[in-house]
Amino acid sequence: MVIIVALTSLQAARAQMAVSLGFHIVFAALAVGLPAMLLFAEYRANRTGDAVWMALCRRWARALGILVAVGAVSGTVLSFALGLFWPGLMGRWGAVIGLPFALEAFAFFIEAIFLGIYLFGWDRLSPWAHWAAGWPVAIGGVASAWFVVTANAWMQTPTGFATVSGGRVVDVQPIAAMLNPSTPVMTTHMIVAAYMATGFTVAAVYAVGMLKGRRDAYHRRGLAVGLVLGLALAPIQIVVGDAAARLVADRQQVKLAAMEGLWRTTAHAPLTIGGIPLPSQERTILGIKIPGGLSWLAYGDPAAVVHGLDEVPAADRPNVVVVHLAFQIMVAIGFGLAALGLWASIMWIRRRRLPDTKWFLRASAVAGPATFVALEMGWVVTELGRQPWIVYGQTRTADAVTSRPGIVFWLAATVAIYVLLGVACAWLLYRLARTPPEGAELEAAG
Amino acid sequence: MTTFQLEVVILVTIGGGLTLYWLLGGADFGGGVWDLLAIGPLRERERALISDAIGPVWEANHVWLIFVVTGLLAAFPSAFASLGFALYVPFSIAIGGIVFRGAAFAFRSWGDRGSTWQRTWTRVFGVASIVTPLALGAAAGAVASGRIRVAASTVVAPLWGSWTGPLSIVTGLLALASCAFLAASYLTVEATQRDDHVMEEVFRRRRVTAAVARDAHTSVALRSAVGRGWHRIPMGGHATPLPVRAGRRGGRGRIRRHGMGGRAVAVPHRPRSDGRGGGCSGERPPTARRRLRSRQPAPGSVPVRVVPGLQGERRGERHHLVPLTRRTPVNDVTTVVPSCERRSAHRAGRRSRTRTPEHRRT
Repeated sequence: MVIIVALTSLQAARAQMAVSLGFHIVFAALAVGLPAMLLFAEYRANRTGDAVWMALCRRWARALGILVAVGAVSGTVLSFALGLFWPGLMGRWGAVIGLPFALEAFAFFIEAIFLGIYLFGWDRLSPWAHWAAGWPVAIGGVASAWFVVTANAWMQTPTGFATVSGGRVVDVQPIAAMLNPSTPVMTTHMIVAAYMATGFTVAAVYAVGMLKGRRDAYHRRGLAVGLVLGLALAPIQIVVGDAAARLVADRQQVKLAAMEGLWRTTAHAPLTIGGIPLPSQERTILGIKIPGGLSWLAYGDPAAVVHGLDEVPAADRPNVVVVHLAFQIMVAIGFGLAALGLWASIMWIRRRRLPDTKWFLRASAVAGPATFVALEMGWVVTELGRQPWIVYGQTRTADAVTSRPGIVFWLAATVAIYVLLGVACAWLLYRLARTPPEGAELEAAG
Repeated sequence: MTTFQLEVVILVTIGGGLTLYWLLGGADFGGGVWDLLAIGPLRERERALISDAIGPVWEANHVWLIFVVTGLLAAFPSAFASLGFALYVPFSIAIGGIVFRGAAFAFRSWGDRGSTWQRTWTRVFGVASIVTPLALGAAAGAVASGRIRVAASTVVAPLWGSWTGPLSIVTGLLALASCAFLAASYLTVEATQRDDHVMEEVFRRRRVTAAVARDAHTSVALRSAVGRGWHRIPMGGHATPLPVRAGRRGGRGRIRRHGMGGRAVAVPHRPRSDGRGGGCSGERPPTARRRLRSRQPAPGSVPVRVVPGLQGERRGERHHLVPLTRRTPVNDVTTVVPSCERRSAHRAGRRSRTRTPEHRRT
């Protein structure tokens, strides 16, 4: 509490947004990914009449109900918070980036309406009609994610407007703003991440169950569906992530320098793996350096010049330590997941079945939470790397924050409420996961 | 289309969204209000009806708020920023309420019946459902009262003073009352559709209570809005008839014909001479329904005091028609109003000791 009260208004508002977004993203990602898995399981159930598929589907639907509920309310907090804390952002730029938020509301509308039909229509719709009701949920979720990330992409690479003297924004083109240069890669990166996170999380639940000795068809299939979704996307995500980093290299050079811990502009820039940046000495220690690696990754040429942090004054630099470490963690987890995929693929080729050894299951169980760590770290890189700008190169975060007092209380309340909700939600989902369906439930499902 | 017209169209659209949020989402909050106020033996049934009614729809209804907020953000960004600045506190309270309402509603359905978990989240659900309309209503009152000023593109509004004026207090209470009224109205219909006449009656009465509260606040709101010219407004006269209308409308049930102030009237069940009990065939006794149509106690009926636990257990008093109060003992007798089909179904139910309405339906 003492630390919280000592924060300035800006720090408190930023921390508040970080907590809100960090909380919301977990539920949002699962709400984007889970409907697709539901559709698959229900499709199999309807085709084969297999009770195990139906049991999986019903379980995931119950989990989805609670995840979307918490996701919806935490998302509402964010829509209000934009106006409450960042009048400088919304007042000045709202006309440019308001459109994706409004469209997101429409997408969520469709999602919410059909989710109601889906969750409460098991006995009222024919099996295939019920299955069809799941599609708008899945599509609405992806569309919501796309629209919202579009708005964030604009904050990284703002386009679709002109400024005149005095900073007034004119010639607003909301569509052009939505289709800014960052949109394609950022939206893809996020949606793929959401599917991966869902797949690995579901897989982790069943991996834990199997480690506890429940090696029935229900657990095996749950594990398989989650793992296949996650592992198939893991290599794709590396390619998309690489594209995202190249875009940052083109458009946000200071952010790239912070991500890589590169202090000085240099040709043949080395790629630093790990390491701790020391802002006081302006160097990064303890990292493994691959000569020319960064130049090659960023511009496709080992001799290319990469801009370092020394090109801007210290006041215009993001928090290098956090951004660099977050980026390293995200990349490490990404490659770890890809390695898990490789392991599974090799075993699949050799034995025509997914491995179910103890160590593979343990790795799968860890992969679930790890994906969410990677997801959060990715957003830390994106958002903290953008600082000190709220709209990159246009508006500083410090100029956008409200002059209202008492944000620290908001922050304290937010932390307390989200801890409470997070614990309650986790406990419910844990309870749901801990009790596998009984024989009767399997039969009833069929 | 000129810019002016476009602005008006967008504003009307957003206003429509806000109205729909109030009509749909507001009713969900009202459901929470009744959930909190549910006491007495019927409370679990009331809560079950409320849960069933708003469960499938509350998220979709809630999106209207997001529609309004994002629409305002997109179309009128400076207004959005100004409102966020001026109504910082009530919006913050409303957000807290929204979060807790939604989460608590989702959480409570998971616990075991009567567990601490469920009771806690039920309480949270109810309190949050009261706080949110109050805060949003107060915010609306702040805008309407003109206490928020924009001078030289800077918002001038005190942190607390702008939304704690008399009009804000009244509009907050008005919002709460209208949510409760809407919820009670929907729940009455919901109960009717389920043939649950006890709940129908319960919520019909709540609807009347809420309508009275709502109209009282409307009167005060109008009064405080127009100052001393209150009784010159032709609308003012509506304040009184409204609750009366609300009370009488929508009555196809039988109990409700009894009217609000009716005494508890017992209609003695007259056994047939052949000892098979009263029936629908032959020389049947006048049914309660017919008697009540006349709104007069049946000749020979006597006011009774319903003794909890005894109701329906004494032979010959099985089909008592009793007005529902909080103290009315809940058993099957009170749900069944004698009429041909129901009575026989009821008897069949009694024999097999399966007497819940659910069983009867299937």
